[in-house]
Amino acid sequence: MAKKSILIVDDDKEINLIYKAILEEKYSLDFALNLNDAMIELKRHKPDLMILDIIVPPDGGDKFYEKIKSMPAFNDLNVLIISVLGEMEDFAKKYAPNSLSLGKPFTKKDLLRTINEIIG
Amino acid sequence: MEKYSRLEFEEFERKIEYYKSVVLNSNDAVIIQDFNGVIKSWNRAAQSIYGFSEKEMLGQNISKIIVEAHREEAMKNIAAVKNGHPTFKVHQIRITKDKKEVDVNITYSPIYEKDEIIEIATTEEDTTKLKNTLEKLEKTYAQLKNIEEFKSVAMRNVSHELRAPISKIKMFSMLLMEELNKSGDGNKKAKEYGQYLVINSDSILSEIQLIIEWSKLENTSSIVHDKVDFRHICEKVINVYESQISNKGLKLIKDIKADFEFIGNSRLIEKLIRNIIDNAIKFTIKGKITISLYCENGEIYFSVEDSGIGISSDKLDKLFIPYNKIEQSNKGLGVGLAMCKKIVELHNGQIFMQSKLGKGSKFIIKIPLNN
Repeated sequence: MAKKSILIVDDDKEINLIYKAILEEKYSLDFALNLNDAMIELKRHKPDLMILDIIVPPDGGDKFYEKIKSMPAFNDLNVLIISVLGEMEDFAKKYAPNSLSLGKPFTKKDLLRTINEIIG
Repeated sequence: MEKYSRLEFEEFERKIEYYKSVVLNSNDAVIIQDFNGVIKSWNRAAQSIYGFSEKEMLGQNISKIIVEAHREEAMKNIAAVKNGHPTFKVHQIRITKDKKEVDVNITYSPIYEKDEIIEIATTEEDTTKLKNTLEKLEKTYAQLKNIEEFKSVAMRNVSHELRAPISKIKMFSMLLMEELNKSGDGNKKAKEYGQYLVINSDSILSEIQLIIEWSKLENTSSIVHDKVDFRHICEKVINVYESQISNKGLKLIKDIKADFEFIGNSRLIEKLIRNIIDNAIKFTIKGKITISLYCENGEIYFSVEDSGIGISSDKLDKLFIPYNKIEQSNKGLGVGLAMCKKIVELHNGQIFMQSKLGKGSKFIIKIPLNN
């Protein structure tokens, strides 16, 4: 069976290295370092899950989330929102039930469990 | 005419001199006027406040030193005294010889001759200096508040900047540990060092988290309300700490009787319970921790008692002051309990601590059910 695909949207290359270390074995990963690239990537290939950091240039992950959720092609897209622990909690809560948001720093176990809850 | 002896007469004269000197030397202006406001007496302090000498003012009307806007009111005050109104105090703006405005507090009182009011005495206190001092004080206070806010913002910004890299240090050190563990029994030293990386980045992170939370909460005066299931939150937090308590060899006694909901802020209440329990574990080496929750006469009582190191009574009042560590050797910055106090106050409750040095401490939190 083909690996499920995840698009990771985060401008921090080191954090992306962490995602890679944790997820690479089980999932097929694509990365976007900004929201423009993320949109191009989404249109090229709709992933099983998008991991979206709440602070990404130029507009921030929260605006991007609202934008893609208003697009018919992507309103059913699974999105895991990543916020800094204790920050932007309100946004994460507003849009995402517990299983769909995660605070940084996360442990390998937390990240794998959360993604497993969403896409298996 | 009644006759007085020479001795009595001298006594009268002595008394008159005595009262005269009190009036003359008073720090407050003492002015006597008739019902039309014509000045009958004018002391030294009156001269120093208004600039006019006694000679210049005797026979003049009081309105000479009253700003126009207050003249009508002054005449009303005179009429009130005339009609038997007891002594009263007012605030007026007066005008000096060199046309400067002065703020004065004036006490109006009647002067009686036999049973009849014949004239009016006013004692007048220059409050301009007081007003200026007050203004300076207010300005200083505003500056202090600015500094306070700046401090709070600076702390928050510094913490934000530190948090991202330390988060990464923590995550990378966890990954590093994992890689090391793959290598089986080797690399023992590296594993040990790596473990310290994880532990220490964890403790920095939780301190940073506390500062950020505190700087957000510090200037908050109202909270977002939701239904708080106190018992549920309490049990949830205890679950998190249960293993830590037993790992330390401590006994945990739970006495959770109440089952109620109240309107408050769940997130803050959870933080409160967590901080109090965390604090008890931190300062207890052996013995037990007793957590109890009950509701009585419309009030929630939550208490955590430990058999820890305790503190001496002279340090109790410093306990809830932020960034005030009771002992320099204590770990942490000392914001945890300040945060607890703030959360309790935001719920209109009270927090107390009873403690005996070397025996243990008990935190008691009382929150009204309908706050």
